[in-house]
Amino acid sequence: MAVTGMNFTLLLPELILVATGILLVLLDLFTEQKRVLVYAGLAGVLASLLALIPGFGTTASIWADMIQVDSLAGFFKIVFLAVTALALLVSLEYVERRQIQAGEFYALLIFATVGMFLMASSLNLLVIYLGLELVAIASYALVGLLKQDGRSVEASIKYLLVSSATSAVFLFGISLVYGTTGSLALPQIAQALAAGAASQPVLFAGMLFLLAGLAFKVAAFPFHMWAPDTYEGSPTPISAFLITGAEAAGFAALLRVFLVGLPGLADAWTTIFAALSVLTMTYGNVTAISQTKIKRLMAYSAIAQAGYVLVGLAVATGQGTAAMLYYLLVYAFMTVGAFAVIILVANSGAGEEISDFRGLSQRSPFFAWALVIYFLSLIGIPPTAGFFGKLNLFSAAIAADMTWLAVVMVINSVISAPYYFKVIRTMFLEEAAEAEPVRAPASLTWATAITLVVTILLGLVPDQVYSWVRLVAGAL
Amino acid sequence: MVLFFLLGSLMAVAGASGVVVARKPVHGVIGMILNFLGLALLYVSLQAEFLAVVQIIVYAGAVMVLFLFVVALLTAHAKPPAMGPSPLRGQGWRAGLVAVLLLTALLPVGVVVPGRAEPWEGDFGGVVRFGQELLTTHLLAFEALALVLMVAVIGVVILVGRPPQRRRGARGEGGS
Amino acid sequence: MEAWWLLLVKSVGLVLLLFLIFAYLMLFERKFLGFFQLRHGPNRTGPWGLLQPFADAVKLVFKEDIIPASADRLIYRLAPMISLFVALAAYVVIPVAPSSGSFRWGIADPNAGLLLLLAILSLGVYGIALGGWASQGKYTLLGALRSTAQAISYELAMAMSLVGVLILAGSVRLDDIVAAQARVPFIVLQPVGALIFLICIVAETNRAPFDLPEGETELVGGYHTEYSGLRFAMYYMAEYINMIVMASLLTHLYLGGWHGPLLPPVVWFALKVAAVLFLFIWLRATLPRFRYDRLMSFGWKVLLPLAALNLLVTAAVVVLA
Repeated sequence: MAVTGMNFTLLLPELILVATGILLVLLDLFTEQKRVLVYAGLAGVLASLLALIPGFGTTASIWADMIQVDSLAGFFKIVFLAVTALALLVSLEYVERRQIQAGEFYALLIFATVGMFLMASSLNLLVIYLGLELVAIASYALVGLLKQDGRSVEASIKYLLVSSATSAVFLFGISLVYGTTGSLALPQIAQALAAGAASQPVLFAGMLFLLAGLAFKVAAFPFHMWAPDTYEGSPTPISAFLITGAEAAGFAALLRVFLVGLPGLADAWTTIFAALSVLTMTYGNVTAISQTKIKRLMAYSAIAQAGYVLVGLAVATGQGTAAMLYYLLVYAFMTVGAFAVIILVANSGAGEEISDFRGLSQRSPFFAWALVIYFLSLIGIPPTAGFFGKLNLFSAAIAADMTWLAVVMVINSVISAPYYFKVIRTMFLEEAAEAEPVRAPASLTWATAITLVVTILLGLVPDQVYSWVRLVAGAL
Repeated sequence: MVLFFLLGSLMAVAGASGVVVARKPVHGVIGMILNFLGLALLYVSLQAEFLAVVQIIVYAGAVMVLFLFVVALLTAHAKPPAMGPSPLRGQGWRAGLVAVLLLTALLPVGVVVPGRAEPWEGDFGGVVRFGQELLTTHLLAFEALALVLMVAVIGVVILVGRPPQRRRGARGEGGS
Repeated sequence: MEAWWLLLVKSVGLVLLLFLIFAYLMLFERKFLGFFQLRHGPNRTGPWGLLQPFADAVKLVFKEDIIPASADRLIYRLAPMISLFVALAAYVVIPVAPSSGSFRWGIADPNAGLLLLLAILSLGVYGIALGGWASQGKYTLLGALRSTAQAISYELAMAMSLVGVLILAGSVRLDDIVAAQARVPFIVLQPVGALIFLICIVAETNRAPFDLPEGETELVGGYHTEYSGLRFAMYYMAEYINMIVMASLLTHLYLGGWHGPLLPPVVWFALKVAAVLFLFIWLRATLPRFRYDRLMSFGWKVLLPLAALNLLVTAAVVVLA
């Protein structure tokens, strides 16, 4: 008896990443030059990116239908690899300064990426769950790596407890769905729904559990309470990685589970997602205003942004999905970029308070201006990429007759402006305690430059990217 | 099989309530073991005999032993921890309310939805069939699980292991 | 399915038989230890000391049952029962002779036989761990923790060495495993596996040279220091019945079970088990006790990799041949 569809070529990106992770752990034993590990990791990410090429344009179900290779998976894999590569770059200096065990740090980062791959590229609830768990377990360790820092340990514990509880909720949802439909494969579940299983109350309960489990992972409003503490306490590169990568993976799983597996219940879950979306963005933005620590501010901002992205699920149209994907792509780059600047400031000896950004415009004009652009993009001011991201979500909401949702989005964008501008004002209008220029390592400069270019580029030529994203969304 | 089901569910529920009610951690662990044994019986009533055995070997026989190990070390004295005014006052009621709501939501599972009790034909849960399923249809999930466990081990080692510089010092002149 | 009364008779018979074997195993252990050390051993009660076990039993039954003031009374009472129950329950799935014909020797014959046996045995550690904890003494707790750690560590290597046998036999039913050894016992094909298994069962039953949990020179008496009377006897019985279970298991897995020329199967089985039990006693008389850290590193760094290697080689040979 053999496995049907044992296709190694299409699984190559995942295999390369696993090999890279194992290699990093081993390499760590033989070298004192920890920079080598970053280069090896980057090489692995690049190799994995190249290995995606054979899968482009094809739609295939491989490994006994456990892995789905399609353009949506391809899109998300590119986003994940970009985030991982940038996270590796911004970690380089950080890891050396904080004396974190480098080999395991980078390896876990890579393994978490594998988990995200599984979440985005499977139509089987079992594999989606395993991917989720792989991301989560790697993250627990990554979040708690600053062992001398009480906040990091607290963040890790909190993340562990909440995340395992939500994994259990998710699993419970899976079992209820499996019990009523008799399958773990999303297409079969959709068939069972169409055949009349949709009316069962048990299935509805299962859907709620699945929704709650995944809403925790993307830190949507009533399920967000772990996020600020976790993102604040964890090593800064990991905050960036989790806020962008893990959240995007959560959204990938949400798309797969709800659009592919449970379209029969769309009436119910679109309403729930719309409510979640409004609550999440409002809560995130309002709470962010009073923050004094930059990482907490970014954490609440992340919650708010998750609220925007949820609009795409609330409308449940192809246009909405495309807008979601576009926004996730943009969001990944601008957020990692912003975190690169935060890491730079933290590395220069200052803390992570907003007041530590005083006078950054004189100490390092390039990074100060870069942060301005990221923040403008996060608010959604043209011509940055964030503007088009929001515009797409906005028009998707209007096209789906949910104008009120669009209005809430606009109001929220206005609410969000003050707290971003507070940071900008601190950087430009307040004097630094010490005026000496900040020394920027090459890795951070590179990361900032790349994210800056992408942020601006996506704002200048949004149409080409958007048409690609439309294509991807159509394949779902 | 009905007998197995009744006994198993009774054990599982009793064990679970024991975990919640017990004031000494060790009693909680024992409740948990009872719960796992009950689960194993439920698996037997579902003809998943291999799963039942593995449930006992892995959870009751290994995982809970480690739990007991840690709990026994930490609470070498059997006195229950002093119960001051709880910092989470009022949460018990809310949690209870949520639990009641959840149970009422789940009530239809048992009452409204008709149960499917007819036994499955063939060696559904036997060792041979289980192993073949695991290594053919679910091969990828199986390997992914192996990866998850490996990552967990790496994570544990770096979180609880000593930082390298101190270890080098402790090794003294014998170190490389 | 057999009639329930037959099962009941068999079960009671099995328990009584095991108690009897336990009683005389203990006597013979003391006798043989005496011979190994050039003394007589017990020889006052009855001819050749044959009534000694009964004297011991009477003594233990009439001893005062002491429960330490600080002990957790419920668990303190429960723990020895768990130990004894698990040891007795394990024998339910061990067949002593082929079950063909009208009469079946074994009580239960589940398809997952060996796995079920391992599952039951893995619960035995609770009796020790809980007993040591419930007594609330330093020595008992240390003994309990030692034995827990030891049992978990050696269980891994044991289970892994077993898999070699399972691959060769192609089944986890003990009947099938024995049937597969009709021509050649597996000890010939799996010498490394058999050796690992032997070491592991000695460690699992907390026997010398791995009897650290009850090392009287360091821990007074280990986990059962505080126990007396009947409860102490339960622990003692559990330990020896575990020995019998493990010896039977070794016989079935590696020594060809009841296969042998001339004599009837039951006799061959009994002879082989007796030989293994004698080996246990011999080991105790000959070898000094291990140091604890060495015990652990031996289990994790030598036995476990060796068992894994054995498994890999066996699987490769079976697949390629």
